[in-house]
This record gives sequence, C-alpha cells and structure tokens, in this order.
Amino acid sequence: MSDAEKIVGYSTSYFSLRCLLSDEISNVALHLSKLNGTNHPLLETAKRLTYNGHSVMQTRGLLVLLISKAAGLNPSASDYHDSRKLAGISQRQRFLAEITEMIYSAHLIHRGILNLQPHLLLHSKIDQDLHFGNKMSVLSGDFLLASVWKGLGELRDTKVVELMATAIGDFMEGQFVIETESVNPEEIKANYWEERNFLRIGSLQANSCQSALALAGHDEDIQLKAYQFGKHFALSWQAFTEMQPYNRPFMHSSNNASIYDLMSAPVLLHTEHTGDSLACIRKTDSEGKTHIDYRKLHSIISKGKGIEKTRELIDRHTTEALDAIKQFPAIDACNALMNIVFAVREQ
Amino acid sequence: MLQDLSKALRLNCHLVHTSSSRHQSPIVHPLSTSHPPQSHNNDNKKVNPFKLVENDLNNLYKDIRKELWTERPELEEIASYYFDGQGKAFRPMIVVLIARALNFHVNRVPDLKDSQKTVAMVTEMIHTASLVHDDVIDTADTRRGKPSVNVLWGQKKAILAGDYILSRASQMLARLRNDEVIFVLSQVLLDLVQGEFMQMGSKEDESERFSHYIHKSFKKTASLIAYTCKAVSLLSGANKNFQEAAFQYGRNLGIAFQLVDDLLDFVSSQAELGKPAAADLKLGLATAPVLFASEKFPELNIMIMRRFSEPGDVERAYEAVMKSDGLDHTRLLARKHADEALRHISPFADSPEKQALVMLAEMTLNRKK
Repeated sequence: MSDAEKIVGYSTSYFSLRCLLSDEISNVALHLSKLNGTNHPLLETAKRLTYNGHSVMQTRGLLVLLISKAAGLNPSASDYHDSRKLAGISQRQRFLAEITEMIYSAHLIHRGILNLQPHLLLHSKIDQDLHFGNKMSVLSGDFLLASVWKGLGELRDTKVVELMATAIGDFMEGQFVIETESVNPEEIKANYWEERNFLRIGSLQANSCQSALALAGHDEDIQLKAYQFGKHFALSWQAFTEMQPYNRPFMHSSNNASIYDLMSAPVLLHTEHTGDSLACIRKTDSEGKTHIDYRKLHSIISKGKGIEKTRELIDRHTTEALDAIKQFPAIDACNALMNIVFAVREQ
Repeated sequence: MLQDLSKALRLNCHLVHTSSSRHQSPIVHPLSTSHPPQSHNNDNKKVNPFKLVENDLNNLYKDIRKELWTERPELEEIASYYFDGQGKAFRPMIVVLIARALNFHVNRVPDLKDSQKTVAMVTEMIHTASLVHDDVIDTADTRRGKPSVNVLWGQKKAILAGDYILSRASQMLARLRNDEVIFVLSQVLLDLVQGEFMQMGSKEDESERFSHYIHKSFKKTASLIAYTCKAVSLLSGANKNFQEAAFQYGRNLGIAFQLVDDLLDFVSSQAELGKPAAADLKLGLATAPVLFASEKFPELNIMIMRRFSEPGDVERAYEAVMKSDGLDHTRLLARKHADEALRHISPFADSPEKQALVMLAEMTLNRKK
C-alpha cells in the first residue's frame, strides 16, 4: 500500500483536512469527551477516523487515485495540462478520492446511530449521554455528507454527481438489506451475497472509479472498465475479509455476531453447496429467544466446503478485476493495482 | 423551527382548496382581504397563489414518491412517509412562483419548465430529509399530526432514510445535466447543518449575538429557499441581476418567516401553535424577542449564556420579553425583511405570479400560527 501511495504522489488537496479543521468538527470533538464511558459506536468510529488514518480506511481513495493514474487523462480533457504537473492525476480526481473517503466515513457514522427508547431519554445519565452521542453522530455525518455535496458541486460534472449520488443511495439500500435480513443462511437465494455486498461495498468503489475516468475525459467503454474493476475488487476484498475468521482458531468475543457474520460468504456457500441445515447452531431459550453457538459455527465452517468455495469466489472476482485494467497504459500504477489484487488473491 | 412555516399555512391552503374546488363558496382567502398588500397592483385580491401553482404542484408528492422507488420496501415506505400529500409544499410554491414570474418576464410565457419542476421537488425533498434528521436530534415524537419516523422505525433507520432521500434528490438534479444548477445549490446542505451547529452554542460577546442569530436564521431557514429561487431563475434564462433578485427575495422572505416564527413562539397559545408556548426558551434558544428584550433587561444576558437552564429562567425570560418592546421590534424587523424581499422583485414584469409573490410576503408577516 505504501508503495502505491508513492506512485500517486503527495496529495495536494486539502479538502478533507479543511473539513477536519472546521469549527463544526472541532465542536464535535470537544463534545465527544462526554461520551467516554458510554459504548456509543461514534467513539469507535471517531478513533478509526482520526488515529487509524493509514490503514484500510484510506484504501478506497487510494484506489481512485491509482486507477486515475493507470488510465491517464485523455489529451482532449480540460484537466490534461493540470494533471501533468500533479503526478498524472488531476486536482479534480484528487478531490474525488477524498469525497469517496468522506462518503464512507459519513456512512460509518450514521449506521452507528443507536435506537433509543424516547420515553427513557430523560431518565438516566447514561441514556442522556447516549442520546447526545446520537445527536453528534447525526450532525457529524450530515456535515460530512453536506461537504460531499458541496465538493461534488465544485467538480462541475453532472455525470459524476449522478454516479456518486447513486453510490450513496446504494449504500443506504445495502444497510437496509442488512437491517431487515433473515438470520437463517439456509433460506438465502444464490445471488444474495453479491447483491448485498455490491450495495454496501461494491457500488461506492465502482462508481468512484468510473467517476475518476469520467473526469479524465475517457469514453464510456473505458469508464465501464474502471467500474468493473472497482466492483470486482471490492467484492473480492469483502470475501477475503469474511474468510479470515475461519483461517484461525475460534476467538470468543462479545463481538461474535459481527466477526462471524451469518450472511458471510463462507457460511452462505457452505449451506448452498452442502445443503446442510445449520439448525444445530441455534438454541432457543425458555423465553423464546434464539442464541447462536458461534464456536460450533466456526468448527463446521472451518472444516466444511464453504472455505474452498469462498476461495473460488475470490478468484472469480480478482480475475474480473485484473481483466478490467489489463489495457490501461500507465505501467507503474497498473502494477500497483495488480499487486493489491494479487495480495487479496494469494493470501 | 423553519419547518413551521408550512404548518402555519396549511389551514389557509386547505381553506382555499376546499372553497374553490369543492364547494364553490365565495370564501376569499382570509389574508388577501384583511391585509391587502400595499403596493404594485390593485388586482391583488383576485390572485390566489395556491390556485396559480395548483397545476404545477398537483402531482408533486406522487412524483416524489416515484423517485423514491427502491427494491427495499421498508426503505421506500420510510422515505415516502412524509410525502403523503398532507404537506403544504410551501417551499415548492415559492420556487414555482419565482420560476413562472421570471419565465413570463423573459419569454412572456409563464409555463413551468420540467427542469424547474425538478428543482421544486428537490427543495421539498431536502426540506423533508432535514426534518427527519431534526426530529432525531430533538427527539420529537410527532410531525404533521402523525408519529415521527424515529418513533415508528427507530433513530437509525430514520437517519439512513433521510440520507437516501438526499441521494435521490441529487440524482434528479444531476440528470438535468446543468452543472451551474448543481453548483448554485451546492451550499444548501452545508448551511442547514452549520445552522444546526450554530444553534447549539451561545455567543459570549453580546454585540455579536444578534448577527449570529440572523446568520443562523439565514442558514437554517432562508438558504434553501434563496438558492432554489436562484436555481429556477437561472433555468428561466434570466440574467445575473434577476437571478440575484430571486435569491434576495428568497433570502429575505426566509428570514422574515423565521422572525415571525420566533415571535409566535411567545404570543401564540399552545393550541394555536401545536407546540408548547416558549418552546424555544425551553430548548435553550435565545431568539430575536429575547435578544431585543436584553437591551432593556441586561439581567437576561446571564440566562442567555446558560441557555435558560436554571429553574425559573424560562418564566423570567418570558416575563421580561412581555414587558419589553422585544415583540414589536421583532415584528418590525420581519416587516423590513419582507419589504426588502418585495423591493428585489419590483423590476419583474407584472404578472399574476408576481402579485402572488407579493401576497406571500404579506401572508408570512400576518400568519397567526
């Protein structure tokens, strides 16, 4: 990743920095200390956004920069001259990369909003603090989205606005898929995994990569290659991430439900290909509440067919991703993209 | 707060619609007779702003619901929840009237263009999305006489659905393929959220408080109206001067509206307003009447700084406002902004739409709830 960062050059745009330094965000930061001691998800998100800036958090934007550089600018594009001074990536493409990151951050913040019972709100200190956390989450997420809307307006390209707005809408749809989904992997249709993860992961990367090439003045068919790259790379990465918990011994944690997602590729592919029921992992207690035995789930999936099938899934998507960019001209950026793809494929 | 403009006008709207379209009774709009606008045209009382925009806004909510279609039924249900035809569509009405007035001015044909209709839809969508988010922030449990989205579906889905409405609104704007329109509207969301942030803090410096308050009112209330007015004027083909005039009309009308809203918070009873009297004080907000009153009663300043949080603060501040000329000053300032709005549209060619814009300013000042 850090090699890849060298290729795209030092980011000369301060768009997101400007947002971080704004009165609004410092206002939020000031109030965040009130949330210490609560378990409001905003705290965790804020930590990821501020302390963890060099890990996966910025991969989405980095990919936008790399695909911009890999494809180059059409010499007839209005930004062509501009891009030559800036390591082959135009200022507008750099803005777009940051907008992509901000959309993702806003979504992380908004999906961390807690459902609190209104009638409890004034009763205890902890409820008041949690409500305050919600308020901060709404406002800081809104602030990021409003900055995205402003930034998109300044790009002066309506096609790009349309693509990125579609990505934001898909993101929300994806979250609703998750909010309303069944807990029985056995009942899931064959293409469910692709649909779910395209909406919540793939669409943003696909549309931002396409937008980068639209800004570069490329034709629709080249833009669509970037779209395919973003989509398939994001899906392969998601499948890769979902496989990780089964490549290591079972870890007990309070967070089991998110680590061992019942709708992850290994679980879904296991039930799809074996026809096995996972009824044995579900226990219903005397109050009628269902509990999942994650240890048993881990043991079944680790030994079953799901892992192998997930590897095939990753192979399929990485192949599509590589295929999409093979004719892009800039060798170094293309190699960097391929290396990232291979890193996902071969681990 | 800003959202109550449309609430206040609902009754009037309802009255006009039933009287003209169903009963054919001779009821004239109450405001058009009791408070005739003081300038422009003697025919003012014959103009019915609601009737003028009726054709253009007939299917507004239906068309918005169409745009919100998705394969996730629950998301669609939540996103469409407030677009049930019960809203007053006050913002779309301003936008459509400005658009028609300038279309007439430029082309001598007032007919609304499709692109302008899209802006009218978008303004209602942005407004509604911000209401959904505001209700989560203020833990409001009713809106427009029904349970709020957050009560029915929880805060998380309410916020996500609000974001979804905005994403559809920006797709609609983008499909107009007019980057100038997008650029003109690019500031409005930032203004809405910055206005909300401004409302959270109190200015230490007493001399800055009033400009802070007016600035906040612009951002939270007037910005969306002003920039959408500018966007449709651009689409009408009007020149820069008339685009600026449209912007200033929206800006001043929006601020006048907010001032009246803040005034009514003191003078209307709970029954009239649909919310408790002095609700702003209870939320810790120092609005124009209090700020004016603090000139006569400097002891209000310390209460303003602590956001009326001590026992008895709300009552004492309320008393002080009533004993001062804060309400009169607020009304006067609202009048000044309404006059300013009218001054900006005075170069528009005379048309029923222009008269309706004049009436809207009057109605904004004279509403009772």
